[in-house]
Amino acid sequence: MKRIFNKNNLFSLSLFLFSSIWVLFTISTNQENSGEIYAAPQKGFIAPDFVLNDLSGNEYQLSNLKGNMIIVNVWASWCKPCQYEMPAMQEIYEKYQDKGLILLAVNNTYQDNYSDVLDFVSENKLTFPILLDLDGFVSNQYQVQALPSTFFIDKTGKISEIIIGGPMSEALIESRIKELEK
Amino acid sequence: MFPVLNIGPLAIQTPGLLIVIGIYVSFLVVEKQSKRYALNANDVSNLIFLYLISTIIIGRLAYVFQFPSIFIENPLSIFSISPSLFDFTSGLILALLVAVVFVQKKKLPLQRILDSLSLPLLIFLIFVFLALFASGNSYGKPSSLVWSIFLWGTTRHPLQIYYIVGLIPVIAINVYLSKKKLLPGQLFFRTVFYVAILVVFLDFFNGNPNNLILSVNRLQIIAWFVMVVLVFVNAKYKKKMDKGSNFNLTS
Repeated sequence: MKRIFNKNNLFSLSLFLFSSIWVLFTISTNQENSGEIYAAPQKGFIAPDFVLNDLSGNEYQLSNLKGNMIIVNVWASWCKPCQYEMPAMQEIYEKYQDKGLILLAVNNTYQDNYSDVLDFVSENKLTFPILLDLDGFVSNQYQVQALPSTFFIDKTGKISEIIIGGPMSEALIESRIKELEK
Repeated sequence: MFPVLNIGPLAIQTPGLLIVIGIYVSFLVVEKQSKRYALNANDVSNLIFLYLISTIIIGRLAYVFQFPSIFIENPLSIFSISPSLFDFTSGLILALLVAVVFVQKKKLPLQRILDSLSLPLLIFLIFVFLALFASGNSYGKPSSLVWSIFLWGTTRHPLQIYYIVGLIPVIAINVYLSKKKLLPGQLFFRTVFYVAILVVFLDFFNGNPNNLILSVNRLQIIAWFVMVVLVFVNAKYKKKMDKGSNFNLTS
């Protein structure tokens, strides 16, 4: 031990001591700032709130659904990966609906054709809520840069996972739901 | 923050692209370093390739073992190309065992290989932090400093940039030390020591509250322990050097 604490290692030891003091300092600062939480489209943050209507005109406000496992899937009817992953979404929805899963398929209506959306939904027999983003509010709030973009939101309202692009496999969606169930 | 690069109908994930470029650039440096350290470039390339492949396979298997019932129902998903079906942390750690077995079987000079890899690894880390900057991950704490960036609802410390700036002197020290007379392995462990110091200091600015353990950042704690171990390791190297025994040049 004496050989370690000699003048040859003075530089390493002083760095070590200084960094140890720094770690202790961080404890106090982190305790002061641990309460901060923002709404942002990023893992660990509160999911930005939105209010949209579905195809029947029913209003959905994300913050009112807190306490459930939520999937927000941003899609368009012309987007091929979105088309391929929708059947998997429907199967997962049917399987987990009773376990408290809410699937909100937010259609980028401002970039889509309303009649195409209706055709797509009836062809694929989708039973989960299809919300219409008429002015791109959700795309803007969630900084959507590619379709589909999927946000997994836990029961506390925080985003637990983001999947950009697709198509997502059933296994991928289901494993993320298992994470939400924890 | 620029997570997706839209080229026509293609949406390329910028962080992934930066990691691929980082691997390529690091590989170029590995080849140069192998010559410098009198190593067989093929052996080193094979070792890295094996490590990367093992990371992917083990990462996927670790993910499958976490959700066995899901993959029993959808066995083909085991072979899915989706990068989201991976447990990279388990992959990266357990693949080290595969690499160690390969080194022992081939009787490769591990310490010299580590020395030769220290510079490419630092360069790769720069690309990792560029990728994190592009994706907006590893974000900093809220701050009102002039150089703060607006990210995730408020202005924050550009932590990823801090790391990139911090890695530059570490690279300079690595290059400087590589020209000195050192024992095999000494350059690598010294480099790791400096990276650990960097992490202990910089990760204080990490803004992710989920990373905290007893109000200290998880990464800071790990780096601090690495530092403690390396103070002893480096002291032993110094003692060996002072004795003048087993003296080898690494350059």
